[in-house]
Amino acid sequence: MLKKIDDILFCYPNDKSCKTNIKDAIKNIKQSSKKMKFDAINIDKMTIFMSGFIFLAINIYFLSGFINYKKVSLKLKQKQNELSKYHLPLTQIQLNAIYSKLKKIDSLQQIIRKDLEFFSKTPLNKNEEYKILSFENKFYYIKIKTSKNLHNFFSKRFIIKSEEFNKTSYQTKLTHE
Amino acid sequence: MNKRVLFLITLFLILLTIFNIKLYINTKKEVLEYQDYLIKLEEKIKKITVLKQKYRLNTFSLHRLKKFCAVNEEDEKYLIICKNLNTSKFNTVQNILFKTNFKIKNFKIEKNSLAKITAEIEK
Repeated sequence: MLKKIDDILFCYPNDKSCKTNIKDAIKNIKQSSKKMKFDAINIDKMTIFMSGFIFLAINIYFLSGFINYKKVSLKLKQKQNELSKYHLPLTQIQLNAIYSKLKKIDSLQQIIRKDLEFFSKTPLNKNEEYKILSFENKFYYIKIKTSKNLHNFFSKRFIIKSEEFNKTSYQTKLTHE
Repeated sequence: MNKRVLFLITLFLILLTIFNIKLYINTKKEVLEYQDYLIKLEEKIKKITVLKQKYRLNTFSLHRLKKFCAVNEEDEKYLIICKNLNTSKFNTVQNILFKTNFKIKNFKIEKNSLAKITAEIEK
């Protein structure tokens, strides 16, 4: 039987009658305004376990990704060391300077070869020929034994700086600029 | 389970996740940038190597030129003077000089009964 002793509800252990009259007994007791819910966190263990597992999985995934990227970074550093075997500076500015210098040489040499190819196609008769062909400081100086005025031919590729034509020879100074 | 403990564990896990994601993103970005830099570096080194190789002084051709011409070595260039060239020699010298990837600085071809070629090539 549920009993009230000094404002405390008391029941003997294994007394099944306690359960039946507990609601009636509570009604007769002046309750405190403060309440405490014992089942406030009503989450079952499975949910907590699953949430924890998901969180851990996410963390492991990102952490493993971080470790992998560190490994890749290490490999890249090894590759950089391999590149340094070329005895070239590894900064972009220095490399760009070397590259632009080489590119400039290459383009000039390509132009000279193409110009020579162009000169070889000069429309000359059998007894006509080049007497002088020189190149210095971006200028070509040409003297040809010919009866033709070759102005139109050379102006297809070059800027004619000066020219002189008489019945037996044609002289000109050419440039690309 | 105590509500406060559960709250702290959750907060800890959320913060840990945020930290890991941030770390992952930063590292990924850093590695990609570095990878990009190395790819560009490798490409540039390849291009430079190709050009260097292309314009490396061809000693064999220079040696061949010495059969027909006087070759004077100066500080940063070779001065080549070929005199009294008949048609056959003239064609040979022309081929060696212009078809080999010499860095030609300047040249002069004069043709009378015999031809003369003078040229300066960079080392």
